[in-house]
Amino acid sequence: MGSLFEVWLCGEDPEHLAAVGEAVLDDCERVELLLSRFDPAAELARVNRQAGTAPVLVSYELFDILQDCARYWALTDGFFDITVGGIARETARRSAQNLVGTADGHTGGAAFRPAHGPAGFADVVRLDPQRRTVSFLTADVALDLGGFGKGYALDSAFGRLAEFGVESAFAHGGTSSAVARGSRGEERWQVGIRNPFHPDAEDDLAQIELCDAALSSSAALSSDVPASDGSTFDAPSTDVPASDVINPATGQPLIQQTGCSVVAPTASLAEVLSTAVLAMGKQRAVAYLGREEPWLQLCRVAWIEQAGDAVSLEWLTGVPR
Amino acid sequence: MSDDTSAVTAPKTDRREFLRRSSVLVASSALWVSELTAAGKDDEHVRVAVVGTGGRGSDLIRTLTTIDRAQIVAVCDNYPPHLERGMKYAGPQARGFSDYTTMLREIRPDALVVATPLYLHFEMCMEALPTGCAIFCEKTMCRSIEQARELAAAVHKHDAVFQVGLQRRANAIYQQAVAMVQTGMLGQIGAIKCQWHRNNNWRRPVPVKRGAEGWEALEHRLNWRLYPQYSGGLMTELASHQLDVVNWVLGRGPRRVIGSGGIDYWRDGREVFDNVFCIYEYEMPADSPGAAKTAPSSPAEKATSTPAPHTVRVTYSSIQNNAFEGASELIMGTRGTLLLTQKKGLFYRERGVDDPGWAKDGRVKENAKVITSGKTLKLGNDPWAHRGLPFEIASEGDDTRDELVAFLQCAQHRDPATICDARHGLLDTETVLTGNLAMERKTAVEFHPQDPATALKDEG
Repeated sequence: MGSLFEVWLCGEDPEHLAAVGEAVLDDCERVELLLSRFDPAAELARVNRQAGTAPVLVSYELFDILQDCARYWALTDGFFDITVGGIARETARRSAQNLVGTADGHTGGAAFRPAHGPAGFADVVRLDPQRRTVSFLTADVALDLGGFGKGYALDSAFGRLAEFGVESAFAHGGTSSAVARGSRGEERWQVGIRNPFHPDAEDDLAQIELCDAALSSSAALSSDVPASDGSTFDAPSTDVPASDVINPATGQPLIQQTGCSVVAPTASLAEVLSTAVLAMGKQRAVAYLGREEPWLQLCRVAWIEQAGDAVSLEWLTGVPR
Repeated sequence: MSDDTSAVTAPKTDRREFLRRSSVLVASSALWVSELTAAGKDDEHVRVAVVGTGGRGSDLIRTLTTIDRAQIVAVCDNYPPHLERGMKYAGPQARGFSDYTTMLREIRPDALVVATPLYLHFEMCMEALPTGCAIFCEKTMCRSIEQARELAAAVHKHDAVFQVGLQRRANAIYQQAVAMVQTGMLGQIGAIKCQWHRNNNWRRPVPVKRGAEGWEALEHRLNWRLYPQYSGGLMTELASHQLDVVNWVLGRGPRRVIGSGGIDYWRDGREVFDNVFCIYEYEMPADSPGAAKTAPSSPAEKATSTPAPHTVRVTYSSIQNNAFEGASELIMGTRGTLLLTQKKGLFYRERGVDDPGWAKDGRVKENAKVITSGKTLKLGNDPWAHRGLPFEIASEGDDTRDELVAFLQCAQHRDPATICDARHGLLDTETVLTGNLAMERKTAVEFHPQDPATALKDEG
């Protein structure tokens, strides 16, 4: 397993809860076998190996996930993009002359709009709903469902809790994606958002209550700070560079120390938005979050930034209750 | 004595050179290539029905939906939540059934996948055989040896396409390992150690509150693995995979087994052992791989070993309250060791008198350089330093998918020579169930040497 998944379940029958907990973790493993790009036996790994050569027939579940990701790509103006590697390099090459330093520290051409650019998700990944196949239109495309996969695993596993009569539960994947169901006795589940740049700092940046909701945190770190938000879902080793969040607009890893935490109805949604907002940068994110989109209204977004020694957290939308 | 041992063909390249040149071997299944070239060639689908759509069945269904050749026409389960899951994975073109006989009659599939609890394998396979469909039966083939013998005989009589779901047979790592053993790379096999250790209660959660009406029946149903009327416990659910690998590697079944097991931790009403330990004895003939006399590597060396029959002892353990050892097989030979898992294989060379490691034959100057270069070779404090660095066998692919691809190819061409046929399934069933017998009786149990199954040699 790439990330550590932990589950807390509340109830009266410990043997039953142990069995439910195992079932939840089994479901997370099942999802990993679907979505990992590092496990050669995984369905997504097979897609990455073969889709550049010929269309790959995938399971209904994976196809649905990929269609959802395509939708999210469009809904986030291309800032949630599950393609990695080659496509980012290609994008970087093409937009090199557009590199402009902006006030929020992100490199990126103001004129570059990934949704219309030559190298967005929809330009290189073809989904054929009639045949249920995936193909890549250029040779060096790969899909990475690291962050989204964690959220999807948690949502999938938690979806089964009702079946087993568990009303109160909490789980996280790699400490960067968390989901809570019900309340813990009288109290709600409490989650602290840690300082991603100084993980040993004593104070949390914020403490929120989570109830029938999910929280996802993404952070962009400079290369000499070890990743503190947990590895990507299936990163195989500690050699993964700290900033694994690539700005699809530039193809470059995000360089300023920034972070984003999102509270949303599901873990998948929280992952999508936290990834997209982080890549957008604060200015663009504020404008984006002001849109009249029903799904955005359900989410609460916090922006985390390091300036000098100080790290601040600011809610860009309403503070979660 | 002639060195022309026909049963063993050593590879043309010098073994040491082969290993020196590459430290990682990626053994990829050739199946994808053949799948790719066959795709688009014909629109012929294999109409597949799946009975038993619980955890494993649903995985098989999902995997089948990624194989072009397969068209899932029906799924069947008499437990509604499982049937619902199966239908979700199979897609809208699949019809759902709760009665198996009805499904067989109305659908008449080309191929059937049986993924029901163990005790149902026999009756379901026997019912399907006369229809002429190809059958994929999950492991272990049957709940009893008598059933397994009867089923194997019936498969033979119908000349049916029949495959048992022992997926390591489709795993490139294991295929590579068997080839390495059979070409003598490990020398004589001295012993094999297998284990599958986990730390959990092996229970599935029951969607009804304890004490409520129907709880007990449902609990027995969902936790069938814990009750001997449905399952042989750890031996049939876990060991069968690994002991099939042993039978495959050694090319035969065991002759004798002793064992010990009990319920020592999970005292929760289960009736199968929660920890099992067995020692199997395999009688190897004089001409088995590695036991053959090898050519002397220098004129001065005399060939001193005489091939002789010998016993290979295989230890097996499975426990449920410590996961440190995980699941693996360790094949120990005079020339090398193979440590195998489904994801990776490691080959460690043994240091022998013919291989100091640094001396290269015939290159005197280089030898001299090494000795006089002034470097001191440090061993360090690592207690496992003697193992040296392994040669890695990696693999791309999912052996469950590969075994299904192989099965469907046989189904399509009506080829009964599947990668794990009823004879292998029978031998595997006998192996694990006799282990259970030995543990229950607390005595050694002999396998019958005149039994065609145990006298079987792997022709593949």
